[in-house]
Amino acid sequence: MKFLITRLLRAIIGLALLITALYFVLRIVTGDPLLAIYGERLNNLTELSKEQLRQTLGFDTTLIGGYIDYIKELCRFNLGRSYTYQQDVSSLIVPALKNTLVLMLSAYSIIFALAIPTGIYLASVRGKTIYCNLRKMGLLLHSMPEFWTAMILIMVFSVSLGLTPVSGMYELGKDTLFSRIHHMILPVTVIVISHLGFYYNFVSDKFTEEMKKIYVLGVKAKGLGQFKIWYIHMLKNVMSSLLALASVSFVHIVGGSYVVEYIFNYKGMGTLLFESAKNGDYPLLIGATIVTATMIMIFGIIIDYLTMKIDKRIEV
Amino acid sequence: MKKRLLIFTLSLLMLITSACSTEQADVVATDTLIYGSSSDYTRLNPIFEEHGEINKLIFSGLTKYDKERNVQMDLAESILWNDSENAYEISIRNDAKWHDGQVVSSEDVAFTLNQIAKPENASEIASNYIDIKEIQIVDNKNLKIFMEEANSAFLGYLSIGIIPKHLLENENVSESSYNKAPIGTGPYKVKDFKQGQYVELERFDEYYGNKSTIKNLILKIIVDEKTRAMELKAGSIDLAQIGPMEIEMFQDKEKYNIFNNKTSDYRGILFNFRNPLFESVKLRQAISYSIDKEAIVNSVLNGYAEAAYSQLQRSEYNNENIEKYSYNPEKAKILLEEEGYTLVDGIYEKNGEKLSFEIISPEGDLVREQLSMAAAENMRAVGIDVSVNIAAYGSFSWDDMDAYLIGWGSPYDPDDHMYKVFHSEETATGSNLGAYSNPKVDEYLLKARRNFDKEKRKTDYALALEELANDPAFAMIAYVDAIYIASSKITGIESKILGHHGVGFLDDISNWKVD
Repeated sequence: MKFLITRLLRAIIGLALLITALYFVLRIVTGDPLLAIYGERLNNLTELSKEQLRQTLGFDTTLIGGYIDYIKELCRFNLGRSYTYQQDVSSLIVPALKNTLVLMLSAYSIIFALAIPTGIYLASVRGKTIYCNLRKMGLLLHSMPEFWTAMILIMVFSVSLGLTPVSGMYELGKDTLFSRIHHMILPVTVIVISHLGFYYNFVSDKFTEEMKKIYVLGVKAKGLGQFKIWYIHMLKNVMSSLLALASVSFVHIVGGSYVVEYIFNYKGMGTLLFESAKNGDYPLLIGATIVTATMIMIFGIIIDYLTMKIDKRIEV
Repeated sequence: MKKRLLIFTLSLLMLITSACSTEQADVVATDTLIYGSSSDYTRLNPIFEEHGEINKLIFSGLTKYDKERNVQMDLAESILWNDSENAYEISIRNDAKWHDGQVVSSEDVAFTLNQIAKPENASEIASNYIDIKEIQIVDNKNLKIFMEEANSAFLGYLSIGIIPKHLLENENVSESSYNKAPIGTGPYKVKDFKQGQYVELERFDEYYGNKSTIKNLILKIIVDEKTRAMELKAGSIDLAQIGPMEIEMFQDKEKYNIFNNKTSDYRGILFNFRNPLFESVKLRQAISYSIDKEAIVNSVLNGYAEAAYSQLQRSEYNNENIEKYSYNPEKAKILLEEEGYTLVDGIYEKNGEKLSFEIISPEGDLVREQLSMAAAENMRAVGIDVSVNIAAYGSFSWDDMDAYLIGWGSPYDPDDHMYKVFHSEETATGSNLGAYSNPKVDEYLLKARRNFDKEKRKTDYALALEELANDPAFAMIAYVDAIYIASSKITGIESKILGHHGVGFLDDISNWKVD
């Protein structure tokens, strides 16, 4: 309980700092917020329109006054109104967040489901040719930028073979579960490919280290089978470091999936962030950033909690 | 074991793909066209923004432009100019209906123009209509628009889409849910709008004009340029605009038609006259001579462009007999020396001060970024110390900058991007971003606006362009082409000159066929 409270408090302070920094940086850096929204087109607006806009968007307030108003509204879970969509930011974020979570968690679970057995296998064949090749391949996959991997996969699977759709979230006019899964194959594959190599290398290193420990020799002596040794005894012991990795990697995978969303025109938090930054839609930009940060923090707390439960030696 | 697993996976894959391909087949029926759109649609309403390909499909205006870019009647049956009252007398055609079956009335027209003028709607096109003094409804089908001053471009501005009073009367138009499922008077009605994914349009069978043979028109949103090219390659869309670097992928003439459309969309370097450096005409001329436009067209724009010299180069109001500023670094140097600059260590100086300035290029526009870098390199070779700053809108102000990589272009009436861009009175409120001021240009542009005689207007613009060449407001660089790739199953597409950002390609869709 005490753990949860301290972690939550820390998360809240972190968020508050982030929001404050975001708010002030955006207000100070952008000289005229209207120019940020309209660009060259701003001068097409009449002076009256500009006045009116400054009022409705709250730019006639002082820096501090505007900040206090924003925080007040935020406490009521009101993220404001998007300039470009003329809709509540939360009404845009909720569906996008759902889509992102589906994409990311699918990729996330596949990465770990593959990384652990591959890593264990690697540790068991250490020194052989296949070990070296897989290690090198992992590094190579990790170094390929996501947009590039995406283009190659689209070229092969969508253009040449015609197996998968190029972009979008579902077939035109057919928003079915099947169609959604079909459209997720490539985006998920891209995220998995660009992260898997790094993680199985990590798992393999951990297991190689673990193999040197005395207890492994002990269980071997007891005559336990290979599977039991690796997947029960050793996995339990390396679990806490794997969870720590899971916690850190979550941030990377969020970043990765945001890029992938943009390429595949998958309407999630990533596309919202890119769009809002491009259009100078600050309420949406701040809102999407806050939600992303909250998501990462909540996930961090869950992982820390699990780590503590599994490994009693760790006091968080 | 392994073999069996492989066979199982393969057969599963085949099962999935066969299921998908049958699904795709019945969606892409022969009377359906799928267009790859480069940006998401936020509000489907013509009164807010200047650019909007989709608005012309869903809405229609009192007037429209034909292929030769002459103004024709559309929703209006006739528009007469009453000289004594300084008013337009407009009567609306009887057969025009809204997509919900209601009849279009003069009330709708007045409602639309009033909404554009409302400051809280923050319409980008409001300045086009500021000459309206009063709108008087005569009866259901007739109205009068009283003007402060005659404006020759006004008939063209009346091509703005009309919005329905009966649906929006008691709504806040800027925030209304109408903007997600609009009812218009145009050739297509909105069937489904999935934000961020696609807009599905269906032919409006009671449309008064030329009906298209294409029954379903789907505008699929694909923001990334490369992904758009891939969609075309995969055959999942039929038509899209692509960048000059992707064109090599579509050389198969059996499958694709390339439409390399000329546009009225130019790029150049805007001088900020608030900076005393640019008071010197010779300096601006020297800068114009030092840019190798031909080389830039062939490298940065891959040949899909043309060197620019005039602001109306693609208009029938152009003046071909003005200084074209072909690449001439020697002349640039002579001009700079005449102006009192001396070359010290490869950079010109005057009174101990280096000749140096910064070009701002808006962030996110790759073509402008590359154009500004190439132009800066040319100028450095002559001896002008130019740097490029790629900056986001909002992080700079028009008042403090030196120069900016600008883009404009009037596809229709020349008044559009001439008067508000170069008239000195448009500095504070209009689009004269660099505070250019030349009394002769002011005079010619105003004369052209007030003149209704085409030949006389031509003379006015010819004089204005000559003055703009001798006393440059911009160092013109290039007119960029808009490249569209269409699947060869679409026939009847005519080549035409497009507007800013390649807008207008779908204008003649009623003549297209999908086989």
